[in-house]
Amino acid sequence: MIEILDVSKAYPNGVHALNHVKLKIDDGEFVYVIGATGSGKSTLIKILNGEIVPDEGLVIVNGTDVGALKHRKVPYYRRNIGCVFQDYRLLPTLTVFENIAFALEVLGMSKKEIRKRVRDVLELVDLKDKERCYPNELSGGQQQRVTIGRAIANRPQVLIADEPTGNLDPEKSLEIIKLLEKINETFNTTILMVTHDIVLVEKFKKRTITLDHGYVVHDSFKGGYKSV
Amino acid sequence: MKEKLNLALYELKYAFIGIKRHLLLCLSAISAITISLFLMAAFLVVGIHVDHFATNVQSDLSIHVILDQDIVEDDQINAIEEQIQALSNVDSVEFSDKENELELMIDEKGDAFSIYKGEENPLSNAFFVYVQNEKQIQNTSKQIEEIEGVSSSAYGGSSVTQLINLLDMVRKVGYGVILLLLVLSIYLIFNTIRTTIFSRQEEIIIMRQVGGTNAFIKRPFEVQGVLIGLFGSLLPVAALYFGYAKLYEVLEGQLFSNLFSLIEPNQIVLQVGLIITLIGLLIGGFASFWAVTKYLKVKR
Repeated sequence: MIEILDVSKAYPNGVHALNHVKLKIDDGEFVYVIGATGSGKSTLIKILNGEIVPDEGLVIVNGTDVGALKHRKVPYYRRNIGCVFQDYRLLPTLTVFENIAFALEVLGMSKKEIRKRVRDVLELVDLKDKERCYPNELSGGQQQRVTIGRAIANRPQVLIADEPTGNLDPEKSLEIIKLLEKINETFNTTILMVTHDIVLVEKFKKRTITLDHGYVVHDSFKGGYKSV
Repeated sequence: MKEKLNLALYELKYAFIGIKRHLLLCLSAISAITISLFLMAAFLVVGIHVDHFATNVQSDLSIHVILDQDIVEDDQINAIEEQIQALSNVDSVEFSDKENELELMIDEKGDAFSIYKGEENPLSNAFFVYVQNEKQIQNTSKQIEEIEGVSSSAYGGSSVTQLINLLDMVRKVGYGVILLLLVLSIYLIFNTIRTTIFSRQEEIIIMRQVGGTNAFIKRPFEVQGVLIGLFGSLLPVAALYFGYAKLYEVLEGQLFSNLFSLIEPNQIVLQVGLIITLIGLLIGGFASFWAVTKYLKVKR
């Protein structure tokens, strides 16, 4: 469960990125976060994955007070939070297989177990034939699927996706959203997806949280862009 | 326990993957280190020799103490030797009887002096006195002269004192240059490795993002740094091994004269080789550690 309790964050340049945000996301939910550029979406993601610390308020993810984590403890927390980024952030000198394996190797899992897990994940994200490729040999959609594979390899309870379709054409975006839905249904993973993509939000209706200038201006369980 | 072993194996794996897949980067770092260590080796060889020459010249210096003609009994000689030995700056005393003195004279001045061999020998018994501090040689010589039974004592005069001072200065300048070069090379190696890691800053951030602990990320870089340092020192050590041996052979073990005898190749290769390899390893490892730690802290 994700609990965001009265969280505010201002940057040194005076921008108030988040203002008294209160949100509660239950296990197994699939939630969109939408809003214009500068509405605080990215800040919300960064606070959730522990990259920045809120000025005020608490962020509790599965019982962990994220803002209170020490610098060296943050990676341990992230092992239970899968993260998907608009710019993929794959390790450029590792193959697809190795990129996904990396997230499991950090846990000290045995080689045999990792091989099995990675094969399963590659099957799920439909990249079995690309396991020996390097990221720069893949298309954007394929790279994004690798990122998703890496994020879910450790079967996290929460998956945070920061504009995962931001760099993709509509057809590929569709692929990605379907994959995320599949993950949500198969593993009951809580998914929080930040997006700009009105078409997707309309087509795959889910709980939709709208941010504007750092405030939650709408939280529609009905979903869809028009309901806002 | 098993997990720890797995982690260690993965860390090692990433150290080698890091080198293999960033081969050009590593090669450029290795070549930069090779050049610095090569320079350092060259200067160390020169510096160690300057020191060696200076020590040689200085330890060759002795005071020639000639006793009075009538000092012939062992008791008398021993008494004088004891008095000389008791002086604070005296390191060792060597007795040279008048036959030996004559031999030395014949060696120096020619066979004509052979006629004095035997009963006719007009020379006196003598001592060669070696001192601890060469700069005090003049004083010590004066003190010895005051001892009863000593006829005269000579150490070579002011030209020797000047030579000693000159050698001391050369030695100091040599140390200074080596120290400067050491600092310069360390800085160069440090920077090279830092730049190598800087170009992988993005990777470090991603690794943390997907759950890699600081230690897990750091260790492969440290191992790489040490290996880069090691590979970087291979060529200079080889050059030293073959080059110095060749130089020694060509110069027949000495420079100009036997006063400037060169140090045995084995000794130099061991000393200098060890120093530059250690510098390569330590700086490589430490620079990596420092740089990764820095980039780990860029983001939370």
